[in-house]
Amino acid sequence: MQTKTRPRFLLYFPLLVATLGSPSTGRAQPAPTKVKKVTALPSQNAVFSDLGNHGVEAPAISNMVAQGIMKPVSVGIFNPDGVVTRGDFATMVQSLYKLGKPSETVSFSDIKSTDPLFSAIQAMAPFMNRQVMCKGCALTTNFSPNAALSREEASIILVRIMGAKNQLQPMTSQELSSFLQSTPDAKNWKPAAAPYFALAIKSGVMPLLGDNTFQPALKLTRADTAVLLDNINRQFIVPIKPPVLVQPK
Amino acid sequence: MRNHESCVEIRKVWNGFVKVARQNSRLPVSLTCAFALWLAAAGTIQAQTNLSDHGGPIMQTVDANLIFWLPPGSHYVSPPAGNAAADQLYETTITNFLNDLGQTGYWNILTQYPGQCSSTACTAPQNAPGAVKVGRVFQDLTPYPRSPLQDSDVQNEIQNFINQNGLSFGLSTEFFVFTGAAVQECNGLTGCTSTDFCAYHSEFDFNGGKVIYAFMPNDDSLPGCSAGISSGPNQLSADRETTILSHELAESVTDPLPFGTSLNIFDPLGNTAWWDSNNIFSSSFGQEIGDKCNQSPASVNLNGKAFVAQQQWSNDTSNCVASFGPSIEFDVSTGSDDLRGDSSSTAGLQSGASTFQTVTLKSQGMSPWGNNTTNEVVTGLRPPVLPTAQTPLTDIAVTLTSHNSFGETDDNWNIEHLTAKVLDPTGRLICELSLGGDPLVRLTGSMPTDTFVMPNCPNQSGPGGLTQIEFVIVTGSDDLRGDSSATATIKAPNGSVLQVITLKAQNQAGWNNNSTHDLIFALTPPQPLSQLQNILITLTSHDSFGETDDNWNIQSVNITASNPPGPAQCLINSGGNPLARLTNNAPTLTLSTPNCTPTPPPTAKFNQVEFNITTGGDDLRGDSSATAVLLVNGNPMLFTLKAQSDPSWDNNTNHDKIFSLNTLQPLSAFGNAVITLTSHNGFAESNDNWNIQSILVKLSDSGNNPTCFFNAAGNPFSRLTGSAPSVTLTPLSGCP
Repeated sequence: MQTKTRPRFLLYFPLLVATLGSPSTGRAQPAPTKVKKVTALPSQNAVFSDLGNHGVEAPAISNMVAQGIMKPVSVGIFNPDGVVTRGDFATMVQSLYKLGKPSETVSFSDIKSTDPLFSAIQAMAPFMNRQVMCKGCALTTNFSPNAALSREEASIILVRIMGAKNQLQPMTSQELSSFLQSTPDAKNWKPAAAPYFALAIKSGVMPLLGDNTFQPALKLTRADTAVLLDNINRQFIVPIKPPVLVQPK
Repeated sequence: MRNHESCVEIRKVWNGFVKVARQNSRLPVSLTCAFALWLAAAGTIQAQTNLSDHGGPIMQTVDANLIFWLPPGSHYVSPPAGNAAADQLYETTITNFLNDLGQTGYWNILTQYPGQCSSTACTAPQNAPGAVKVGRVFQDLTPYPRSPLQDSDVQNEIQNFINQNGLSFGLSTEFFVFTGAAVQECNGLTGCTSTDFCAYHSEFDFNGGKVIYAFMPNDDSLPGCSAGISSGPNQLSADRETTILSHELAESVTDPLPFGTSLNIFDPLGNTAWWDSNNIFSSSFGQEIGDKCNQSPASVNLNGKAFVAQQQWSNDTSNCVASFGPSIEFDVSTGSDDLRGDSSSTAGLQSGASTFQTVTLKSQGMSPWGNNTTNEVVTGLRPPVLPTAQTPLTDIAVTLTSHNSFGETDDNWNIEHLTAKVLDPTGRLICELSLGGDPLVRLTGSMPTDTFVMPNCPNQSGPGGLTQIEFVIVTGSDDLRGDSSATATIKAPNGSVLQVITLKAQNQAGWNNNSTHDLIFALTPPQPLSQLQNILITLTSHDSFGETDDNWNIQSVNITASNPPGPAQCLINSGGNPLARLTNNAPTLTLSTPNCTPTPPPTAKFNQVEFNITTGGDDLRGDSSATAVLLVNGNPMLFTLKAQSDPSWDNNTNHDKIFSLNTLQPLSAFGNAVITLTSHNGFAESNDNWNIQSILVKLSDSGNNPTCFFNAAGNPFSRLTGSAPSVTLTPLSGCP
């Protein structure tokens, strides 16, 4: 079995922990080889020549490409270490959740109605909660589709969408207090963002990194995002067969 | 931009999480609430719920220190319009905007958001003259250290000025850093100006305290930051900047520590103040007072001056507003028996037997009011008018309602102190109730209501109920004819006519040239001072055959209102030569109250001029000289402020020079004054430069009746150099 070469993202462990129901021990452990792991479901074989160091993520990448949620950058090339832009992510979550347009058109100065991304951005816009990410800011009227997506943005958007889809329930005050108490990195989080991060971590949507930090400003790679969305797809959206558990060697 | 409002049901799923020490009467409840679907430039559809209090401090007043960071070659207006004059106008507009915020309907919005409370009183943003005032202004010409700037550069900039100038900081001081056009900044936690924000307010720890600050890039030059403003009353670039500035300032006041002290298990949102935390699955979660109305501009009149500001969120009406009030503010101190969490309480505002408004003091869903705590509730009066003599506020009925769960008995509540203040939209106190006891009253299930008499509301002996108005009008060199008439029309802030007074009837004798007329009338009905907003003096000619229309020169007008024997309240005190000339084409003089700046009577004459000059951070050398040339009746008169042989005027020193004129001259005889620096360089010596920090020029009659002629200050007000050795002073500029 290949081991993960980018230790900052523990792949499937948090989902397993969440599934097994142990929020107090839900912090990701730094030694993934000592725990049970979940392999991704067999998928259509999308073959990419640039996944050499991304064997762990490859099944998720294949799944996401096969389902049309993510697209190769060219034939045979996925660019797993490339960043995900806000515009990219809008198309992904629109496709993943089949999001429709909001009841009112959302106006962005830099996105015209003829823009290819217009529909996806419209669909994602109500879930962005940009103010949580930028507490104290007077926001611009731009969407900035080419800006790289951070873990914070992805977490908030996904938690919002999953809340709207009744896939997540908010934590009670006691649950949240307990979670923050048991998560040392929480003292570094912005107050308004804390409930989103807590819910994202607890549900396995966005796990802590290998050093038990959340690192909200860290940009997501395409490989990270494939794993992230594939996890959500399998756990919350598509009823699937139970994952195959593989015992560690 | 469109502004939608509708209602939806908001689930307050997170209510129990929030530590609510005191509440606004209109805090979100779990039922239907109004919210704005704000299809705004912010780019998100906002399901709007109210702001919640998270227990942290607010800013009661703001001492604003401004740092204009503008290296040579940078401007606030993009070329080709960008130049030094435009930069100065930009900075002046911002400075004036801040200084004029106090005691306005706009600033009154913030009084809805009180801060921390002791057992007997609460802090709250003040709305009084000087509630916001510009303290120190710095011009920094040093180059930007990098591009884009980082937030750490902004913090370093502030720290440098604090260290270099020994500035104080804390919860009554905010630092604003302004930068030039197209300057970008990135904040590692929140993004960049190029993609995310137009400005931000924040905090940092320094020398054991908190520094409150805002980064204010030039929003005129940033995409997505123009607030949709295409024209404004001052300078477009500055008007766009004041719009975003008002957003950040209001948020600083109502949530000065946006990142709190830190997360902790007792209060995970610790030490923040007012923001929307009602539902993490709502798009409005995380918003502060300005965010809910992001880039929605409004024209505002601040103490008689026109500006553009952003609308702010009003918890009272759950929408974006540009003013608030009249209002009523309750401070309720609970004694030794609390008001339970599942109980509610109200205050009924009564006019005689009729209750015209019921104010929710505490709703059932809010946290309990514990023993020996004080809670403040501010709400707008409905309808939004002050009590009048016809519909006075006579009584306040406080009611406790128990909402008992199974097996629970009725709640009992000891009120130890009750204060109710009725305030006009500019924060002026109209009338007040203040009662205490041990307890003042104990409300129970069997006696859930007690009624308190509101004394004199409107206050018949004070500003709430003025009964008399006095006009002193001086006619100038064109009389008011015997067959003409003149009226005074008094208008309320909403434009309605309160009363029309005949100053001179057609059948009364004419008002001759240079005559004074002192007239006293009853105000019917009595009016609070705040209602007397505009007074229009109108000339009407009643021409006989072949007679032309009358013209009338009004030299001065002095209007006061009172409730004898109470003191007179100045409404208008204006003069000129003439103040106004009323004709058939322009028969009306409109006077806005209050306008009581003393103006020297046109007959006053002066034979003495006094220059009071403070040198700034660059001295006037010992071998340099300085002069003032003052035009008197068009003739230049030269005064030597400092001769070459005089000692130097060192940095930060003040110099007072008094000169006599040969003859008494009226104010109108005095024209511009020009201050000039002359360098007398020694061998290899370069030209002198001189920073003038402030100049006050006064005219007097041998020291008597001193009158301001010119008044200005800056940092510096003016820098005189070899290439620009003079500064011109315009008569009466800067004088009150």
